[in-house]
Amino acid sequence: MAYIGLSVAAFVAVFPFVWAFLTSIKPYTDAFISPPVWSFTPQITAYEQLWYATEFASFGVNTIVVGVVTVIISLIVGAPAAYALSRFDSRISLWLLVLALVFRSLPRFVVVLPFYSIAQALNIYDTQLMLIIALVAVNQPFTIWLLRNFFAELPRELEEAAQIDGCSRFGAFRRVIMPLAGPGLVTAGIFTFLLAIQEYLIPVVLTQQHATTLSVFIASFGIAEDTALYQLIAAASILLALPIIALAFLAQKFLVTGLTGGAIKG
Amino acid sequence: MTLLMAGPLFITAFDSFRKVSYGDPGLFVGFANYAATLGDQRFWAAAGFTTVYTAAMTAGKIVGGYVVGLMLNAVRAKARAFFLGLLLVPYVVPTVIGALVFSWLFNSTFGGFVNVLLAPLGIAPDWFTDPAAAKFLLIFHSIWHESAFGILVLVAALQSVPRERIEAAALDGAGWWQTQWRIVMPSIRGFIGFIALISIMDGFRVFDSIRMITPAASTVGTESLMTYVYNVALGETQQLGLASAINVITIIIILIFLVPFIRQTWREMKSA
Repeated sequence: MAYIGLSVAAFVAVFPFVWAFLTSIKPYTDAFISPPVWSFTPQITAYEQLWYATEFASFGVNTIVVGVVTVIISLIVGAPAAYALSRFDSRISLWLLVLALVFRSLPRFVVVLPFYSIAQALNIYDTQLMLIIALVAVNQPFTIWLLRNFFAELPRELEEAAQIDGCSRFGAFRRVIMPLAGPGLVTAGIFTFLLAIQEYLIPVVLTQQHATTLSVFIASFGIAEDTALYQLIAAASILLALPIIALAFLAQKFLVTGLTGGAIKG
Repeated sequence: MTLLMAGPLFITAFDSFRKVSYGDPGLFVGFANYAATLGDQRFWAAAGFTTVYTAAMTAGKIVGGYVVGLMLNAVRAKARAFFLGLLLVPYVVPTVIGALVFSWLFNSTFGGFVNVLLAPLGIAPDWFTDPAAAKFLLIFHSIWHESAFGILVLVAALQSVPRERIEAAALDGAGWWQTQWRIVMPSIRGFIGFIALISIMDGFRVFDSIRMITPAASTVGTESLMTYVYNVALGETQQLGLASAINVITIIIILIFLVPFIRQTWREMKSA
């Protein structure tokens, strides 16, 4: 019973992507007929065109660069802050939870519109710098909350011992705590990276063409009603989705912890 | 760090009292933007749809997550990881991509797969122009897209229910439904509250999927508060002040809904 139910649920979950994949490899004449055609000669024309005739590759590189830099900055800023908070008494961390929740619940536009004005004024509109600043700002409360939960589980005696052995407070953090916090950092890193790739509203408002990410690139074609492009969009969607789907399997343990935001461990 | 978030919040609040666009000095107008927003039919339509959308998505996510969570806990660990991986897919792929490929199943240009399935039943809704069908489609998408979150939380929640209590209930002659309703549900209430909390916050901010599935949202009644803000601030007009006022009102609505949840979380954490 459970296996049948789960198979149905899993089928519903992934079928739209299977459909998009079929659309991307059908010959143009077969792709847009109703009722749908099931037997056809697969072809990769859409993928070739996507690669050679559009800016898919350069937007892809840009997406990865923005994602990686966002992760690095988020962790460098977030880890010490989260560590400090994990060593305060619980009253302050309660307030932090409320603050993180409130910030998380803010509509994106509250952040994006002021950033848009500032970017115009400072002439950094449509740059990777502006995009990364906005992404870090939006994701930071959650990153810190997530990391705090990991740090809170490491016993205080560890760094006290290190300090007795002659480490400074920061030295103890760097040499003793950080290596132990590996899984927490990986979780926070994966999570931040995913959020940076998924984000649509921030890059669509703050970038135009230089710093645009793949989500925006695909979405802009998706809204434009040009049948000739639809197979390219399908191909692009598949190419972007595949690595992320692989991640859902390979890093499942980290993802589960990150997505539930430490809610389960509390 | 806090400044990066608090700064924009302050600017938004400040701008909401001004008539201002990008790069102009602006003019202080008091509560005029708020009056204009609250007197605008379009605002109420957007607020109404956003509320219905959020409520339906939250309910769907909890019910779906509960059912799938029960099934996941009934299978072996290897199978659980496999199914969980597949179920996570709609949630981890960028929302705009997911919304796009999801909507293609309903689009006759792409073969109209769903309408082919529905044909024997004699219904063939036009998903993108019929307001009722378009609203349903968006809500259905949100449940497809976000159920994974409910599933993840509830799988863990269901595992936390002590087995002895379920066995004791069975010994006392409780049926399956009774056990779920009287024993399991009450002991995972906190987790359900957590899902509702996150879901309400996300529901009121919905933007990406509406933009992809019904780009002309205002004409089919699927405009949300955030797509409305987008049109006011960056689309049809560039009224930054007015858009800021709508943002502030949205924040207030979200906060009103959140207060009971925050108080509950607060109490639980204090007693823990």
